[in-house]
Amino acid sequence: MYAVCLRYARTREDAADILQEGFLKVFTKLGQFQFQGSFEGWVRRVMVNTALRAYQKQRYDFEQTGYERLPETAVDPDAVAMLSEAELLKLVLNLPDGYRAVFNLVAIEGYSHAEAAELLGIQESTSRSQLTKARRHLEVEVGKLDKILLPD
Amino acid sequence: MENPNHKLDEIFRRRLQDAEVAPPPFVWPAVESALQKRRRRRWGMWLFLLGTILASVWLWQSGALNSLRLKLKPAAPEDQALVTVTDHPMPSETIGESSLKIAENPAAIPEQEDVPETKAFRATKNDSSLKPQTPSETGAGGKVLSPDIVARNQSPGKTEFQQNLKGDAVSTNTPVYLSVDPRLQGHETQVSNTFLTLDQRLPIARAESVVSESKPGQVFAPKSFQQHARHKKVQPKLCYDFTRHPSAWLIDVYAGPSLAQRTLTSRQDDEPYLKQRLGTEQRDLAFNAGLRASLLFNRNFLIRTGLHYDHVTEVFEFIDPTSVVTSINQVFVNGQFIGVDTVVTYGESYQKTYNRYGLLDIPLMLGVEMRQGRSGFSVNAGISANVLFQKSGSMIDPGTREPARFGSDGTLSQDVFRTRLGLSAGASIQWYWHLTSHFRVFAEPSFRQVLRPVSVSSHPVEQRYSILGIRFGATKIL
Repeated sequence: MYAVCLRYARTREDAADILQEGFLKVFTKLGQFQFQGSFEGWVRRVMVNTALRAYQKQRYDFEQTGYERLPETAVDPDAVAMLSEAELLKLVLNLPDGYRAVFNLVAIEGYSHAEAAELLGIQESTSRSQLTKARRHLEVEVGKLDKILLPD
Repeated sequence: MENPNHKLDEIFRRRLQDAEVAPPPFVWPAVESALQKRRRRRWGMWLFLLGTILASVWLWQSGALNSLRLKLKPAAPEDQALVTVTDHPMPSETIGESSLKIAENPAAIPEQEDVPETKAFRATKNDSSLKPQTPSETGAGGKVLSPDIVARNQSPGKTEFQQNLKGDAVSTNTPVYLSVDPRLQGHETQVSNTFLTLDQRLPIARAESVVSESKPGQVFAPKSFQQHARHKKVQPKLCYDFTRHPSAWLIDVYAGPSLAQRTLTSRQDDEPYLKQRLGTEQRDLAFNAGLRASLLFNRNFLIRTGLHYDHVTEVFEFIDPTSVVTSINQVFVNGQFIGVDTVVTYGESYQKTYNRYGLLDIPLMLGVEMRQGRSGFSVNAGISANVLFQKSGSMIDPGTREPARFGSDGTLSQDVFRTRLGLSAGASIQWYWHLTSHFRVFAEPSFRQVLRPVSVSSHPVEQRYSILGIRFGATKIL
């Protein structure tokens, strides 16, 4: 669950706080678990909701300059697949807050844009836009790593 | 062509969805500690509740016992009758009169040595065969019936008198003052005074005596008295006797919700700042609590003082639509520094803070109390002096026009609040209800106006408070 928190938090300290708060909720609201679906899934939802609440406390509606003008670049998926989990996690962590939340919810957790928009309190179109920008951001970052890993 | 974006998502999902990272070691002790703290807080809440209930029950019981207690002590003659238990040969017709005379003049009670040695009789429950005993034979807890009573009861033609005494022993030649239940006084007119004073009132006070059978002209006590005593417990007095005790100390404990009315006015024609303050701060919950001692004098007048606490909460909300965050990252390739990657993000920042103000005061109030049966009301008015003014929260800094904190960790560029608030004027109306003679509960709407502004004179906005509240509490009459 710490990995889940890490994906949503800005820093490792924030992730530890979210994990602590999330487990407090899990222990105190254990009676609310309806035994419908897996327990792990329920705990994960508690963690995600806790992380989103922490995110909303200090909300930034990011507009990132620079990446808007970047051309569409196709990243070699094999290059991404070569990266370790820690490196992938670091890439996600380096995403700006708004992009990271949408990318986590839609791309990794599998929520729809409508669900993500409702959870984050944003427009659905904003969610789509931020996911696109998050992907571009990741492509640029992977491209940098690609150069490092596979020098000419 | 396959969408590379979806491929990228898929890789991240597959690798990260179930990725596991060990949390820092301090997390689990922190979770455990927080859970323990919550459990302790819950226990503390239950213990507090239990303590409050026990204290209330104790107060109620002590008040009830006070009013139920049989008073074996001299008291005001208008409320009590005197029963002298003796074996003096006295004509029964004169006992009542002489007892009344003695009651009016306690000095007329005969000294112990003037009375011949008496014989006492032990009476037990439903024991009609009373045997003579000396006082030393009766023992400390014995139920003693005077031979005078027995002699008259055992005389031919008299009703058999079954004595069923409980409680303290009544020794011979002991003047005993017994309270008369005012509800029964109407019955006294049904019989002559002759035996009522002695024979009737003893059973009433004891609430246990039974006349097994009665015949006309041979009744020692009215049947209705006996039935009342047998079937109905003597009810405790439910109202303090302010007529007999025109002065008393009252201790109040109270708490309740409040509504704090804040007034902001611009001092230096700085309307934009005033608008910023008004737009960012909103009223929230408030409550009051206190401990008060009151001296009741002249039956109806009160002087009240103690400690009173008002807590006012407001919400500070600030949205900065032009937030700019700049992050500068150094970029290394093969361990070699190649440049700086600067990311500028524009957005909206949101800040929410609960501003808390705590006012601790010593009030001095005068009141007038009116009563009607078990309930009554009092009107109180006076002043209070502030001894502590605590504040913490956030507000727009008058200098920088940015959010800043005030309180112990304050970051404001200038002082905003006074250290003490000075005097307040206040008034309240209390409605109370006696649960017992010494314990009552009340509801008390109150109003308080802090006379001087809470902000310093150099602050561009003058901030004042008036507080409307209601106090729910209990009073113990000492």
